[in-house]
Amino acid sequence: MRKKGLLYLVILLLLWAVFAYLFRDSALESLTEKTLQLIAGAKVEVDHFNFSLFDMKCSWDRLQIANKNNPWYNVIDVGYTSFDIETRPLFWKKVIINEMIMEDAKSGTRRETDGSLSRAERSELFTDKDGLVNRVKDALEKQFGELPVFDLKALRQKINVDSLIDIDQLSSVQGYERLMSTADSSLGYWRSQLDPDVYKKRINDLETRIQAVNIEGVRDITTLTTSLQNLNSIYEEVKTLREEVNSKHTAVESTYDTLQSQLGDMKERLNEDISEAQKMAKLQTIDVKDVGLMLFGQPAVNQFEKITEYIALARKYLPMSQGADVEKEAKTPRFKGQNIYFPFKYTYPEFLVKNISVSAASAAGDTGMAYFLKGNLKGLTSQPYVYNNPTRFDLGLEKIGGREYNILGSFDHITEVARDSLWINAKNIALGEINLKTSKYFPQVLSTEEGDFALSGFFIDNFIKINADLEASDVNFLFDETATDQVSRLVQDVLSGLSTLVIDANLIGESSDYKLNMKSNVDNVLGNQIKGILDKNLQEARQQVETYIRNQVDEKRNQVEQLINSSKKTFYAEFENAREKVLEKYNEIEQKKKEIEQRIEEEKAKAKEKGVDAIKDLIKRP
Amino acid sequence: MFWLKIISNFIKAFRSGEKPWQIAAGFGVGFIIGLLPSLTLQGVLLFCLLIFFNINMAAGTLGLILSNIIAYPLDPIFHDIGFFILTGIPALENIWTSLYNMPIAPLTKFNNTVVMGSFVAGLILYWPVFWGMKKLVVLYRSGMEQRINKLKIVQIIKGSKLVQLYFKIRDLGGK
Repeated sequence: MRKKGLLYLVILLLLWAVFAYLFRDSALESLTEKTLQLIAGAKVEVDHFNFSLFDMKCSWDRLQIANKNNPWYNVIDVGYTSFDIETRPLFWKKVIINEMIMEDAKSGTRRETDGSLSRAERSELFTDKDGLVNRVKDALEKQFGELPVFDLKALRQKINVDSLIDIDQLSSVQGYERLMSTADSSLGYWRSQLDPDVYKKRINDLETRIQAVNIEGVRDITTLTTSLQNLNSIYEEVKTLREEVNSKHTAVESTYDTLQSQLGDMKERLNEDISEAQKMAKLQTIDVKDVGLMLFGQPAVNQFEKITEYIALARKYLPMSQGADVEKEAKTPRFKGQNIYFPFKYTYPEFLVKNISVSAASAAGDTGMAYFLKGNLKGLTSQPYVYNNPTRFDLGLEKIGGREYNILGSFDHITEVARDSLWINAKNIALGEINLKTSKYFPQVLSTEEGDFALSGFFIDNFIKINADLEASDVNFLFDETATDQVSRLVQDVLSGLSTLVIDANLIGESSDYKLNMKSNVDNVLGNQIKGILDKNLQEARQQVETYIRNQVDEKRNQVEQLINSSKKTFYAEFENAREKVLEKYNEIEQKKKEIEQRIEEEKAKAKEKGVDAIKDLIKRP
Repeated sequence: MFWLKIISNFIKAFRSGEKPWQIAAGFGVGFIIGLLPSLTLQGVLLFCLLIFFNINMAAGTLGLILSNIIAYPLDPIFHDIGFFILTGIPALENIWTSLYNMPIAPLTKFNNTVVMGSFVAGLILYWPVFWGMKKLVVLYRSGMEQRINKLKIVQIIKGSKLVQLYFKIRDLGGK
């Protein structure tokens, strides 16, 4: 063994150690910051990240996550935190942390720098384009767009329906046009099929042939038999013609039945068009259940969208199994070789924190105002389908004086179908001022002292069911405008007399069909009274739209009906005529056939008699 | 100049100095390392062998370079050998499975067909390479150099500029 070699090795090791010492911690620190920034959507700062290779311990002195909505404040500010990293999984480049304890965590601390992300950093953030959030957003926007408008002034004015509705685009008008073209082509076909000349010619031809069979004076059985055969052949043709006429008659009847039934369907379409046009003109009849939606729908939608965003974020960073094997056969290009996989007894996800315990207090120095947060998060992993356990969290936030929040959740992404659930319970919480939907009839702000709030949400793939209940006391509605008409006066009177507000909101749906339902303790009283005021004007406006559409559509309907009915009489008459004539020929042949058959029988009898007499004469002859 | 220095050192060792087995062993170890397609634990260990033991490092470096050049077109063959060893011998399956579950496995990349094939091929070829190189050194030193120098063709070649450059390189390491 040579000493020189050992020296080389020592130098190499020293260089590596210095390099690792200088760059390791800052690289890990930057990686942690960047990863958390993508999730938080705001600046994340880690101070003095330290990773000790010898005992596999990690720690930081401080972790700050800025509030993306208020970037000069931190949403969480954690002090010294240390945790162990399991050594064995590191060989497979997997990071497994057993226990992470975050003590001395604070919320709402003021930052020294702005916590908003730069434009470049923001562009890397997670967006749920065409995903769950947008689908919910679109569905709810549509639902809100269809809500009736309480505009008394507008209702009293004459609606310009012509500018509101494109008659040619109405489903009933298009239907009548299609029906017109169908009727035109079907009746044209039958017109060609039922050409009276064709039938007349055929009937006359048969008549001539029947007349040609003349048996007057014929006593010869053979001639009579030949005449009968001719008659039979004509008889077969008449029979065929009769069947043909009958079957065509049935077919024409069926065509008319179909056209009539389609005409009947159009009436339903017309009703649909009328109600659609009334919807477009925001003239739906007022439903009591819409009152809650119109009043409190927007803040509820904002909250539900926020929750859905968090769910989508969790699905992005805790991805579901895509149905493939965890260790699938690698498609390595040739010459780089192929990795052969053997049964692996360890199931290590790429990244896993088995348990995070958090205990925190708000930044406020006064303990009477301080919040205390306690909770844990279990199974935070980048590969839930490998870890085979859902990510669960349980957070409790309490304030001296009785205010408390409890958030429980589970993100089950073990299989290809994500099953997420969330429960939020809040008691005696300060609700403050809630912005409501802008409308001149409704309040702009709901101000309330305290309230209880409960929410449960279930998210299975695209299926969403969120239920939220709010009970608030000492409510006060703030209006921007003074009441000018009956409706706004009524709304202000009803709402100002309210001291407690109870709301039950429910979002349910699948794929792109999500519906928000809301019930509140003001629905009935407000809904019925508004309805009473608006009903007369509303009914008149609705009638105006209906009359306009009916008039426009009736014109089309009359054209189609005229086409169908006018041809119907002619066709049926032609048919009757053809049928009668064919029947007449049929009966005539029958009659003639009987006559010939009788004559043949008579001639046969005569011949028989003659034959008997002749035999007798022969016998008598000696 | 680094490459010229290596070649110079190698020629110097070839002509005199270290024992033939030291040159041959260095060349053989370098040869195995050169066949491996990527940095692996076994490659690092062999490199340590080259540093720690009294074998010729210049020969090792040259062996590494040469085998690396020839390994590239041989990769498909290494893949076939590796594939057979890893999947075609049922008796070895348990060994591979146990090894696969050891923390050391990811560092060796043994489950890659080209790594396995080239390593096994390197081990098998080590002895022929070792003996071949040893024989070559002995032959060279036992008068082959003089006999070669006397050939007319060599005299012509020696006069060429290319060979003059060769002498310059050789003399960099001292005669």
